[in-house]
Amino acid sequence: MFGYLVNRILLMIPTLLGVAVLIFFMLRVVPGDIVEVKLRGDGGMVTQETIDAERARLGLDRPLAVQFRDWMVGLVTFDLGTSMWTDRPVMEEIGLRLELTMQVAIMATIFAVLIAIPLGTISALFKDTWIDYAVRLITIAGLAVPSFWLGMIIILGLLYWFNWLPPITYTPIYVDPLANISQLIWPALAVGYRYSAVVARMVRSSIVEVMKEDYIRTARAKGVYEKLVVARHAMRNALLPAITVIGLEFAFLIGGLVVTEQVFNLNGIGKLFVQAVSRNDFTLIQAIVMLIAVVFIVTNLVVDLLYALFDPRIRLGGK
Amino acid sequence: MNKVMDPAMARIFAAMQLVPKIDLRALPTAEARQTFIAQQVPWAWCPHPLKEIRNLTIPGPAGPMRGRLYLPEGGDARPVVVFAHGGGWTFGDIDTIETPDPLTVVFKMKNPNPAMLEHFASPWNWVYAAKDLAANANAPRTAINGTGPFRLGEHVRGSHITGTRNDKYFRQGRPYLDGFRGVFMTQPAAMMNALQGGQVMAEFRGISPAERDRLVQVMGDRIRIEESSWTLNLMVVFNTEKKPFDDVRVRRALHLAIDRRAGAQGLARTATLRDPGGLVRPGSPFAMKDEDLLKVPGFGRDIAAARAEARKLLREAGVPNLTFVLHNRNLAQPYTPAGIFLVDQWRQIGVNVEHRQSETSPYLAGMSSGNFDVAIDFSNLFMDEPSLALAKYLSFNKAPENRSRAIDAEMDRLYAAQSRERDFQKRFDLIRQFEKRAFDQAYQVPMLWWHRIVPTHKVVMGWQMSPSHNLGQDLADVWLNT
Repeated sequence: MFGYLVNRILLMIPTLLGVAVLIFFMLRVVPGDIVEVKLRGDGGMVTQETIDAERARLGLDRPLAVQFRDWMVGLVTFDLGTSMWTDRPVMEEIGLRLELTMQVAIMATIFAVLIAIPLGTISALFKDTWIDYAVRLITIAGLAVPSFWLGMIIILGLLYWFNWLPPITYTPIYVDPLANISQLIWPALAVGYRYSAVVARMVRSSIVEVMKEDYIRTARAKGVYEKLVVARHAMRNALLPAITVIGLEFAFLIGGLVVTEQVFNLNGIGKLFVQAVSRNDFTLIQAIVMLIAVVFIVTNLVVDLLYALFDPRIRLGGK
Repeated sequence: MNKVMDPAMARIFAAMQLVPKIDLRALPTAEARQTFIAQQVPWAWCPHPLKEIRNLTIPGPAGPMRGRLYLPEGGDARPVVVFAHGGGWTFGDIDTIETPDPLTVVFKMKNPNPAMLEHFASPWNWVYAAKDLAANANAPRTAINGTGPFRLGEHVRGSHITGTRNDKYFRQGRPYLDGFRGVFMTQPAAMMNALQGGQVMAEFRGISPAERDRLVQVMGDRIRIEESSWTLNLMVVFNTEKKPFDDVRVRRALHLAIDRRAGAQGLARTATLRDPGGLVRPGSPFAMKDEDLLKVPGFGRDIAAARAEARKLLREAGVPNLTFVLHNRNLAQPYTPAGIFLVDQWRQIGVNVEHRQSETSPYLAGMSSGNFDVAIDFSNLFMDEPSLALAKYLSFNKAPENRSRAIDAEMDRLYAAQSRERDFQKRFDLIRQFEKRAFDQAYQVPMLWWHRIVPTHKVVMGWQMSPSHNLGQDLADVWLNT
């Protein structure tokens, strides 16, 4: 197990290196840079010399190889540089928003798991009955409705029926739990609905498959209670694909809540990412991409470890 | 001799190599001064904190010479730069700056400049205390300074900013408010919800007509709507370095085909655009009067005649079935509706246009590099000063923000003349001459001026609407009638 972990962590290095190289060069292929946006984006009348001076200050005038070397050295030393827009360390910019984004992602995941596993199980056990049809209708709607649209409907509903809106600025949960929850519960629900639909469908199809397996028939033949058959024998195996989906969806939420964050005016990583891209803030974009890559890789690792926990046949790194 | 150069100085020299080589001695004095002033901008980018600027009289073999000592902060043990030149003539409108007492600054001018007072009030320029610059030379980028009605409370980037009442504000009894909270919102729909729900009490930049109508319909007499023409302008720019837009007949044809009168009515319902106007904001002191504007080709009511003339010009130029790409910015307001409107206008004279919208960065990159046929450009003026408004129309070698890349010495001459003219009527006439030349050559032509719509809750009192969203935001006179 320890050897497997070390192996996987070492494998992260070439993956992250590949991401770092790709994002560095892809950004520089796109025409335009941050200096034009910063100094001329609002109609400022500046000379070419001013543009050049700012490019020099930001190091954009240096040869690409030198810029790349600095980026690599920064990565190795965990110094990802300063935002070209705000002149603040990118880690500070990300840190300011990561707490909110992580909380929404965790709340949405909890919501999705709590809803999806019972819903998917019930749907599978009552396959082709009206219960199954109702659950499938709810889950298909969840897949079809974009989260941001649901978010807009939630906001308009709160405004119309209760003349109340969630807070528009973030308060950490340790400062004021009520204010925090009253702001973040709504985006978590909006995102969690789609999330739960994806997971519920996966749970349903897995359980339907598992329930046909020989060991389920054997358990029943031994006289095991049906509830125990489902809980102990079916669920344990059926949850494996669901864990993969839950992991991937969680990783997606870290950088993928772009529109939902704007609808709820959340100062999160998704909004920061969009702003960084629209401004061509190279250092910030690179840092956020690396963060998302790390989240995906770590989540995949955690999913693989959970596989071993749920399925005794899997012995990670074993001989 | 040691030829090692300071890295900062090396960058300056490298930048100097990129400056267009203009022989200032060959230009008329007024024009040369304008060019010189424009060239000074980069060197004022990050002012080094100075402890003292002192005018000196230095004894010389042929009599006393004038000199100026710039003494930086940080002690006297500094390297010395001696800069000398042989005299002759000097540029720049400000001759000397003196501070006879702590509350007075005296600017002595070399030339009359009617825009000087306005330039002192430019919201793009900031005043920083010498002690703050000495402590942090990067202060203008990272710190807030000033003598305004509020002190900075908290600034959470991307979220909000708060201010608390400055009890030492120089105006007695102001500000009325104990503080304010400004929220950064990027989604117009979120802003509308927040306004409707009472979470924010004003949106001071400007909203669209559709958003205004929604607020009025839902909030009734709880919302106040104020409207004004705006110191923002959309322009159609022709790349004069590309064929066939190097031909004035093609440019004029496309200019004549735009029915600005109909556009003003139609677009005003959906976009933040409204007033047809010349190069100076309609309604401002130096603007062309509407009855005169109606006589200008391209701004009249007889669009059928204008379009017939446009088709004739295209035939004469040999491009009756012209096809090109319209380069536009990917912003909903007002760029998208403006682009769609233009495509339709040009289609009516047989011109086929592909409307291509880009995000701000590639859009600006295309404009700067000249990688476009025809583009929608904009000007964002902080005040109604003709020298500011007309600067975008100066020759490309003087004003890189002139995206048409045209060189026109006559327009440069007229610009310089109006910028020195102190008599209102004479300056007004010079601006009309400049405008006529701009319309005749049609390197770039105004499309429509923007229209500002500001919603405030009825309880917000004392705020004054202005045509510029860059001004009048200090909230010193605002109070709440709750």
